[in-house]
Amino acid sequence: MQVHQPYARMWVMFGGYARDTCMVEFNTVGDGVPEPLDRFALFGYEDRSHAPNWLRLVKQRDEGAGVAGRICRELGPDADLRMSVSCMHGNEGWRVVSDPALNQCEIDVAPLRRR
Amino acid sequence: MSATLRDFLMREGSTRPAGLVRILLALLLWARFAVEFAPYHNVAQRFPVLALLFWISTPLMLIGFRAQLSTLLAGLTLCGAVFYAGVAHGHEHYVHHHVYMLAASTLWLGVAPCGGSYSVDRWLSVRRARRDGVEPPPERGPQWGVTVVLIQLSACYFWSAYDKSTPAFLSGARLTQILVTKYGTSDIPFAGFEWLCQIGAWATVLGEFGLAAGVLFKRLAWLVVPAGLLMHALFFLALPVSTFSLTCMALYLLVVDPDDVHAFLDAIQGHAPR
Repeated sequence: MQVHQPYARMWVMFGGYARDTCMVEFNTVGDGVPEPLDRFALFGYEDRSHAPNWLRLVKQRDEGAGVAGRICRELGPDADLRMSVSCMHGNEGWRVVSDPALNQCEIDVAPLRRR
Repeated sequence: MSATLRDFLMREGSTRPAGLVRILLALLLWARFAVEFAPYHNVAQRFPVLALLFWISTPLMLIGFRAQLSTLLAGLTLCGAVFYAGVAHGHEHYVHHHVYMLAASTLWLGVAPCGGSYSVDRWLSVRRARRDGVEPPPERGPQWGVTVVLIQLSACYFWSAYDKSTPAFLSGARLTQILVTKYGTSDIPFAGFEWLCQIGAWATVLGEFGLAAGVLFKRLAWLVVPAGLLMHALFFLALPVSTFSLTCMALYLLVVDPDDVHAFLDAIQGHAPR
């Protein structure tokens, strides 16, 4: 049941808050074995709270790809970086929107959109 | 009029809980709106009538002078903030759930006997009785207005739980998303976090459905009050809920039998029960 009258609204709490936040995981692959990558340490941030927003919070798949591109540049040539980005799909829950099997350092990434 | 309805309308109890809630809500109204309704603020300049009514009604509500009338006026003013400023004129902050809850609770408290205790109204009636050489009137009043406030609280819990009854929330995904955003990263902070979020999601939904029923039964107050206060305390610490948790916590004074509250207050002040 949904109520859409402006003066008689459906009761929602945090219904729309943070819906665009995605969860992201980066792994480097060496000898075929994936290992979790601490992207904050890679860029020299001991504490993630000191890291800039673009590195901390990913709000859509393209932003994840932008972060992956920067990580690849930091890792250097021949790096193998895998990325998993999950974003909220309506009221159904997380949906993986990236291809975790793809080496992000072998594809052209969309330009990072700065926030 | 049926006996049940007559009993509902005529049932009396102590006015102390409603008096205390009136004071707490008045302070919460100031905490939430005082800055925005101050003359220098652009909200007050945009909605001067609302600001004027706010500053007339809320001080009187706090001290309890013409307490029911001033509380009712404060509630209507806040409803004006929600529906006139918020919905009709697009002041988005005023259509948030915590503002609505504060407005509705204040409005309904205005039909409860919130001036019979801890108020200038009470002081005047005691002074009048002493002058006339008679006993002060008992701190008692009809309780149907209190029930209306509790129905509002119950409705809030029910629809809040209903809104959360989705796979996204019950899987813990929404709670994870809200919390990681609040703490500013797209990462799971520690192993087991998502599992905790799923437990938290189920506990929240089941808890809110339970409280929706429980707040209406005074016999369950021993369970409902600590459970509700604990839940709101956790919300208040973990999430930016503004005045919402504090408003609900204040209303829990009305969940307990008013005569029990009255007796407890007598007891902690060292008086014999009156």
